[in-house]
Amino acid sequence: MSNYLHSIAFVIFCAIMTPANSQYDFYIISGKILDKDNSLEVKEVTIRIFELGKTFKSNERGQFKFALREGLYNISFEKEGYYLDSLAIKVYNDTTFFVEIESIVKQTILKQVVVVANRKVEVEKIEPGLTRISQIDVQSLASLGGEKDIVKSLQTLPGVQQSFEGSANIIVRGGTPDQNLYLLDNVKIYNTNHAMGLLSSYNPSLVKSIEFYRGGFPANYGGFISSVMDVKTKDYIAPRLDANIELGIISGSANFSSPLPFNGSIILSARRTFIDLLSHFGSRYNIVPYAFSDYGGKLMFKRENQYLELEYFLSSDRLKDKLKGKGTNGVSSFSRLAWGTSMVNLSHNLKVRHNTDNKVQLFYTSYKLSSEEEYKGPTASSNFSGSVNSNIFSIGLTDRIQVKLSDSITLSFGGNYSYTEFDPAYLKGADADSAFLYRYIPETGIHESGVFIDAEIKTPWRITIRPGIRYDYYRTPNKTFNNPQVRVSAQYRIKKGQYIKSSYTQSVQPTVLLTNTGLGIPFDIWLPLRGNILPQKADQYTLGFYAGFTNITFTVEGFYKKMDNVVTYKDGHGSNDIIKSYSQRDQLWEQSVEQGKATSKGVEFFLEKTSGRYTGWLSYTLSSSVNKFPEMNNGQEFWSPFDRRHTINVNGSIPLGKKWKMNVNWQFLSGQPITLPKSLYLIDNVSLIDNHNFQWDEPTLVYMYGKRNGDRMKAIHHLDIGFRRNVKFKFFRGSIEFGAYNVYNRKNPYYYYGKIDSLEDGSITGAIKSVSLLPIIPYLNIKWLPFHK
Amino acid sequence: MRFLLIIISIICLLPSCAVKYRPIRMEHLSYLDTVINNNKDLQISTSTVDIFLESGNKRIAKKAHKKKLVFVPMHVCNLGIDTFYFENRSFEVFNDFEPVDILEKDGFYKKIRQNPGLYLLESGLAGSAALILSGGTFSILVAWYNIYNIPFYSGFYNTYKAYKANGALYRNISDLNILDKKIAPNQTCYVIICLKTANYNNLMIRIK
Repeated sequence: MSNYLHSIAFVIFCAIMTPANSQYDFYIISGKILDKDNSLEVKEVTIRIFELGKTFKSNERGQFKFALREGLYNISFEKEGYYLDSLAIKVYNDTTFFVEIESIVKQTILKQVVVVANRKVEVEKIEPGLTRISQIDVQSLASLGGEKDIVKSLQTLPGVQQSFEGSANIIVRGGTPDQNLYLLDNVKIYNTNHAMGLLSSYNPSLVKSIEFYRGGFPANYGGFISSVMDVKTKDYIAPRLDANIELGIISGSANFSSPLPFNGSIILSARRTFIDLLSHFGSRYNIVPYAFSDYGGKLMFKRENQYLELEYFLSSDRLKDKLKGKGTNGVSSFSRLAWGTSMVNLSHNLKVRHNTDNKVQLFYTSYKLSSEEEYKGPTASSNFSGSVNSNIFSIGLTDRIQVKLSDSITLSFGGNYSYTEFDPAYLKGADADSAFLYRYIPETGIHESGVFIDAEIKTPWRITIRPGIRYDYYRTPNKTFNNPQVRVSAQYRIKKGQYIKSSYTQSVQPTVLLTNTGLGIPFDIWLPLRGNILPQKADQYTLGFYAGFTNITFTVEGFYKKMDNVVTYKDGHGSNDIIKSYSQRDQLWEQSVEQGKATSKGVEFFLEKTSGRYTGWLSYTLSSSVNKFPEMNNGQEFWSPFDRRHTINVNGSIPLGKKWKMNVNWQFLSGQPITLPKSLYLIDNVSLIDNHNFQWDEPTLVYMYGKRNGDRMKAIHHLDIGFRRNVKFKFFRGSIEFGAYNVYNRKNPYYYYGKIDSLEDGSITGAIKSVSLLPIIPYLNIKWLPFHK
Repeated sequence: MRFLLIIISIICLLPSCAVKYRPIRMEHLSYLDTVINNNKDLQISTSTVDIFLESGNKRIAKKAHKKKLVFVPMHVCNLGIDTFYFENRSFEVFNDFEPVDILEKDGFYKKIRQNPGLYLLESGLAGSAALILSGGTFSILVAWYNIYNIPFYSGFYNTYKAYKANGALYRNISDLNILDKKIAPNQTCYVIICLKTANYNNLMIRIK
């Protein structure tokens, strides 16, 4: 009881009193419970009246109503995932008030994403491919190593896959990982991965909401062809000093927020892994000296009709290796691979009139990759240091104006300009004699500018349409590209909560990412349009049925996507070709890649139970994706490397008693296409030394491959289970979570290799073997909220 | 034969007989619990008796309990000088401090009435069974069944009986239902109010 009374009550109390009626024997108390961060209604909050020993619940819309006799009452508002709030109320009249309760989620493990609504699919919104992820969804996912990840939560949605098991990359409707536009407050982020692609680098403690579009793109987004992940960071003014600390087996994080003078606020957040610290225990444990960290900060000032913010985000990954010699003749060597992304954003939001919003942004974003080597020999003449680097940075300006012309017409228009400089691959170093610099790929700048206009029009015939036009202009040192694009979405309301939606969108992408596919050191190289490389283009058609009932959402949507000028390495080529150009200077990187066409189509089903004791969702995607390149596979079509026929995700949240909650996640992905050898043979290496004698060398083993991507890997499936409870002791408040990834220890294939054995009779035999990387992985995660007693 | 067994099993599962409806008598109940309300001219008191059980409509009482409906008998006295009209939405009921839904007569009638269609189904199935048996080779069994095909006849009778009972129930609750009831000055009347709740305690009424 005293705990309740001493709890820090954060209640904004807006009492709207009715005229005094003191003759009543009882009074009606009513109101609404809202989330403090985003003012959205919070349902099923337990309202406890201590004097009566009774509890009530808020309804689906966060509303509550009950009757009380005249007197003084202590009322508490309790909900899992929220701080307990309480207030004392003197009842002498009918009273209506609003209570704001504060989510624990934004500061802790659950801190991930949006609190927009529990429903992921925005049934009422016109955009057919729009999905929103709530914090509850992310929280309910049992995760790899206990690290909740916003990008991975998207991988459980229909039409979205991961590039390989455990990866934080997303493959959307037959696209490739580089065709997705990752935005952080409307600024492009080039690298979104940590831990070699196993985690995403979005700092969850700063994130407020995510909107994810896989089709029906609004016209304000440009420079991509597959999907848009629009992450918005928190923009509320912190009411008081707050902090928390979280420890998991992979990483730890600390978050801090505080109010500032002049109605300002600051949020700081840092996250760091422990893996590299463990490597200090010695080589006997064979721990890779890898580290990742990310830092985020935001300074905000709010006025009545304007909002100013300055934001910084830095994500970095490092892999070090150090060897030191001993004695006077000892040599030492040092190597380091580092990559990361950073972003600075200054934005000003002005509400010009009651119906007009103008948002101006000035931003800088960059991506850097560096592979350094240093060698110190016994003499100074043998010393060497050098690094292979890849850098990209953009500076730009955007402006977006939104005008609500009437209740049925909202107009949105604006423009953007950015200059991006690519220095994709260069060698820089020094030996005993001199310093040197060599560019494998020449540095290039590209000017990107775009204008757009779109309008959402609600017609009286239950039809809403959103026509939009976008015009992108790209200028490289040698060429210019003009790309008008049409984007149209339409929605027909069959009856309340049931819609048919359709869209047609064109999109263009001026950049190309060449990457090592699969796990391993990510050597991501972003390249601009250059030489014969043309912008990637896509046309997408969608048609779907969306239904939202009280606590059930059901959607079915079909899509057909045609892509042009998609890029891939030619047969037998890879990122090593770029390095090779140092020795073979006539080899240009453009010669190792090829552009072609791709087509994907599919149907996506989604069923979600949004409220009640048991919640969860089921998604199923049936899709196919084919590529056609003029110089590959004899110009014939072949399966895309990311083609998966069936994708199933089942997720459920089950309460175990009053305190514990079990989260279950099962995922099934059909096998990816792969090119496997069909046979092998040996070639004798015999050479004539002189006119009479031959030299016999070891024979060369040659594989004969089948059709490109003509085989399939084994299907991937895994079951993940997690258990979580909130803990509240006198000196500790937080939560504990434990569980396991891949509970039944399925050996999912990561890659295949050929195993050759020599038999006793001298002949050889070969077999294809698979390697799996992620067995059953248990995890434990503890979060501590030191400022919350 | 398997089909026949299924039909007979269904017949066995159907409710045995329709029952006659016995009108509710409210005058002799004791109304001891006073309902708090904000209109000083209205005196409302309730009885804790289950009116359907008390009047001998055991099946209806059971059905109401299963569907979480309670029928509260009320004694209302208008001491004012104006006629009081219990119009829908003109008052709000709180059960144990919490708002509770009031059901209109059509709403709760549909939930507690007997289903004549089920008895008709019983007849139909019994008739079908007879037809199937006639086409078979079990002659003694067929003869016995056709003579003693009680479900076939009783199904029709029960349909009629249920239909009549439903009519009586509807008329009775229409007379007694609180909604749309007008109470003249100095008039006393007995009414029932149907609440969507499992039980009730400490009722409060807010007249708007």
